[in-house]
Amino acid sequence: MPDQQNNVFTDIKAVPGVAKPDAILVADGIVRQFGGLTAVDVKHFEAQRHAITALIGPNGAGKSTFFNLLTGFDQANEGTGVFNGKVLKGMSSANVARAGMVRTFQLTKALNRMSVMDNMCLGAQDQSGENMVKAMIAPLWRKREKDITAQAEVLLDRFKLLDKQDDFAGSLSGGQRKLLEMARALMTKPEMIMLDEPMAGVNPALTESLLEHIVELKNEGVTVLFVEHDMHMVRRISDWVVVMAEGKIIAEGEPNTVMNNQAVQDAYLGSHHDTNLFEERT
Amino acid sequence: MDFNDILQIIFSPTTAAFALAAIGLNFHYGLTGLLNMGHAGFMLIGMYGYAITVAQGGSIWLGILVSFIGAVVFALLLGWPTLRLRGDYLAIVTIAAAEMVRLVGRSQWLKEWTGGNTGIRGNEFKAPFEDLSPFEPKVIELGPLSFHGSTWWLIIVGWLAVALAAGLFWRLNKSPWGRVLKGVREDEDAVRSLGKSVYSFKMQALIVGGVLGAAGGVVWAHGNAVQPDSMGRVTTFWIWTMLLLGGAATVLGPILGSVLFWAMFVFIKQLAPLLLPSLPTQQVEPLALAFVGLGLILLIVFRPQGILGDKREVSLDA
Repeated sequence: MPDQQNNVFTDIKAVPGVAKPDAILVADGIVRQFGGLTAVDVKHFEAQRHAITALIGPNGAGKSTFFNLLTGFDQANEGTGVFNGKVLKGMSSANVARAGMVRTFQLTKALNRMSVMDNMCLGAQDQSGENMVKAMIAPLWRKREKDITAQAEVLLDRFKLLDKQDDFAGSLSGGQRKLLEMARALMTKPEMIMLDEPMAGVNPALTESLLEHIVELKNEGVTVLFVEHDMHMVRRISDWVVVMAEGKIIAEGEPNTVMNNQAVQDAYLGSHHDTNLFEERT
Repeated sequence: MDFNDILQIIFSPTTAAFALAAIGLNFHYGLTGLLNMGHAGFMLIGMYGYAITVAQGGSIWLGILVSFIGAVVFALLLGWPTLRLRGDYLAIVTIAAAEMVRLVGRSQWLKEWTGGNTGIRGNEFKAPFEDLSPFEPKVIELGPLSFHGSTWWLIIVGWLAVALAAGLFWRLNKSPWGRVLKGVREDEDAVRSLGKSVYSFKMQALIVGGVLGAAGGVVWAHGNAVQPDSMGRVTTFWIWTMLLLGGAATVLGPILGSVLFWAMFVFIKQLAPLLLPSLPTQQVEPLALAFVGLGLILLIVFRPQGILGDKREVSLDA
């Protein structure tokens, strides 16, 4: 799927930390230590704008920590990232989101005791009714609320959740909650969306539509970075794959190149004999 | 058995005062999920701020302003170190801070202002408000209710304040602001990831609820007197009982809770001597409180969402 129309990636050398022609996110010298353990030590990382980049690696490779550092949920001991020209160092997670980089979570964070529609509306930006004083005067925010609701309906329809809009999010299935979380993130109109294991715990019937949604995001001009374990998924939708192991980026490249990389296979071997990483090698 | 007494307590300023405080706690817990275990501290701050200002010659409005500013400052002090941390920390800090307010109030240190452990007597600060009363200064009966004229005046103002507070809760609960608070209640990180400053929203909720607690304190002081020991830890748990009994996160729950709590309290106090004639009078009230505690346990076991609550939305076991 990704390799058809003129692919910028064919010209990029498949080496760790390689520069991209149009990087939306750049990370430099990011180190995060927990006591004596170095969880993340990324020398250089760039994510290409309008592309789907996959971040893979065995358990404990530091993928989620790296994600947290980039999105402001954790602060690095050293180094910083630059998103769209904005330096991320010291930026709060809320400000990172407002800058246009929005994330989802590995363990889905649907707001269970709120309706699906309320979940969605919470994602909207520029709702002046979120100011306490203005909130008391409904005419100040009614119109914006209508627009937000309309935007939410379009997204819910796309994610096949429209008929659930008045249900509590807690009553949805695990897969539907993943969809809701992704739809909610899109309500912020992000430039870049960071998906932490979007397929985890989703039944196979839904993964297919999830994949389609992710590809659709790219077609709409949203940059995607996602963490995933399932190599099938990674191969099918990503333009570029970055491999982490023991906190470092050990390889990157186009999906097929990376999966034939000896270092990657070594990294996976041991805890991941059974991944179909090797099965499909030709 | 005198059912009139039960009716009297339902309309009394005390019930209105606690309804106000419970609406405040509803902003904290029902909307935002903040575990404020020192709500009585906000009530005390409110009553001291008001009574001291008025006793020193300030106007009613200045008194109310001082009491509200006191609550805002108290909320800022409590929230500043704890709202970035997990919810338990706020609980610990509020319970301690409320005790500190009470102990400072009853100490001899500021006796000149606070009256030490005897508090501030009603006649030192009630006059300006009672002078505004449109009723004659004598007992006035209305159907089964019989209050002094000045108490009728306080009842009207007190319940008006409750209605205003309930209206404020209704409006804010259904606003985008309330939606963010509910999001914070459910999962802070999710709300953060959507670009909202969680800390600031929690602080706002703490302040609004605290100011309503202070307002409750002002009404209570007018119905009784400023008495530091009447607002101890137990009082905080009464307010929690009222909120959970009526139903957290509902508009009318705290009001219903306050009414039922006090009606139950008076009912048990009247029933006890009938059932246990040998019970010394000074033990009637502790017994009534023990039954209130039992009621709270039964409530949590059998109806955790309270009387008006939606089980799916807020329940203690979720």
